[in-house]
Amino acid sequence: MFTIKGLTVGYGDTKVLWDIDLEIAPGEIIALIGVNGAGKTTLLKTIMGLLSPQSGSISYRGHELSGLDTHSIVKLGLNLTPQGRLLFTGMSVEENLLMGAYLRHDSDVGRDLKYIYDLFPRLGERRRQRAGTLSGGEQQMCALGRSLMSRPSLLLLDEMSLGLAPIVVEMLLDLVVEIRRQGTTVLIVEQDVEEALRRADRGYVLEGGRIAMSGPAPELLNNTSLRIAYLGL
Amino acid sequence: MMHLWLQIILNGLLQGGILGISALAFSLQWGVMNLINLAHGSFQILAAYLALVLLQRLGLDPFLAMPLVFLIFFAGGYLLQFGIINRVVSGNLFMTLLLTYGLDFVLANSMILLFTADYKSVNTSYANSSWHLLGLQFPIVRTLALVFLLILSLLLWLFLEYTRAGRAIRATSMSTEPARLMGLRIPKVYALTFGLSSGLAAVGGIFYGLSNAFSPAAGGPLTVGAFVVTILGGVGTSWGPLVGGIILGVLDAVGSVILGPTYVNVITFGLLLLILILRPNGILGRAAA
Repeated sequence: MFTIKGLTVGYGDTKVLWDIDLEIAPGEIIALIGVNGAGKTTLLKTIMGLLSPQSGSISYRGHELSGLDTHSIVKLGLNLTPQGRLLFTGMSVEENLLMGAYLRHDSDVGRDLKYIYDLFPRLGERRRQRAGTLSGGEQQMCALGRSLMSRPSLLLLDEMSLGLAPIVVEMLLDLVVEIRRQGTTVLIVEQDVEEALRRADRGYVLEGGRIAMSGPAPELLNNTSLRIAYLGL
Repeated sequence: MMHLWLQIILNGLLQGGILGISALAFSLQWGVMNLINLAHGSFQILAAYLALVLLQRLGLDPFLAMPLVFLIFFAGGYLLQFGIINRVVSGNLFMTLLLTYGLDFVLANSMILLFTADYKSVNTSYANSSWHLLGLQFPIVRTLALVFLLILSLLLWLFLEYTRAGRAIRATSMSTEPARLMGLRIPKVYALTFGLSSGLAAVGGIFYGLSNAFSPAAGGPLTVGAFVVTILGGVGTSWGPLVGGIILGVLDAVGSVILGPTYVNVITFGLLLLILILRPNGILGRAAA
């Protein structure tokens, strides 16, 4: 249902992604792995329409995404929790969550807000507090909550664990499994390769802007060269 | 003697109303889009001429014409931003300065063609009358300008804090990338912002035209005034224009009596310099997060 074919992306003359092929089936958790500078964030930004590809196609449920603006892509059910969280730091936690539901006009927004506060009681306690004053872990919860408020059918998560305590990372990644159980497909980009692959169905390894390896997550976890390169084992 | 000074301070305070409405518009577009609109003053003068034409041709009182003029300027501002300014607004600040400077030229010279370079004023029966209270004179137009500034500041604040569109404007002003990721169309948010600013500028322009003689060349000083008041109050703050407008109004009024009217610009720019040194984010402005 989500398919990338022959995608090439660059900033001017410098190419960042070459000929990427990637597929995600409904309900899957896909882990995208690669060192810094491999092009993971570029791929996510291109999917969301923040960058335009030089060639290739991205399709979702029969709609071609390349050429659409981010507004239309969000409307189709995609949502990105960006690297660095990019919260609206001067707004309250609740306003950030409401911004996530910006394109929704249904009457369930209030109920979903309560759902997020049940999921993250810390956010509920701090709902009137400015998002910029939250701790790193709370900010990440707020960013994830903001994405969930859009009720995405395909959720893209960029480096959720960056700079967070291992226990918070575990909690957030377990939550991803729960989110999938409720019907959302997830593409997850993670530094913490082992934690991500343990929860994913399949994985793709990005190296120097190309897909170097892909396969079921357990196979990747046991792959010797991948273990040496990413897990230091 | 005491009484005279009270009247002078009151005059300054009330002058703050006209300065403040003008800055409310200027500050909004600056705060949200980082756009310093050099054509701002000419927008206001154009609104004053429009009010004058509506009064002379249709006998429409400027206060009754206000909603209509607001809507016309809102629509014009929306289209101008959507069609033209959006092309350069996210680029170098110099590009927007250049564009609005050019726009100012076009507007000022078009007004000379249409209305000649002579001084005009919007003459209503109450334009030069005053209310009397406690032995002080309250010029009707300026007093109403201060009241309008209070109401408009409150309405703008309520709009930005508590409506969906207001939230969108604030989110966009903080950071455009996450705003896009929420599904906002930045060009439309900017167009709405500039439309609102233009409408507010027009309201301020009508007040200016009611209380001053004006010509097409009067736009420049209005832009400068809005610029100083905005810096003084804090760029993009809802209440900064009110605070900045009153402070500048009073200081100008008192200063011009003590030092002479020719020194008003010295006071204005001295104040600007002082605030940039002592409190560069303005009186109500927060340090950049």
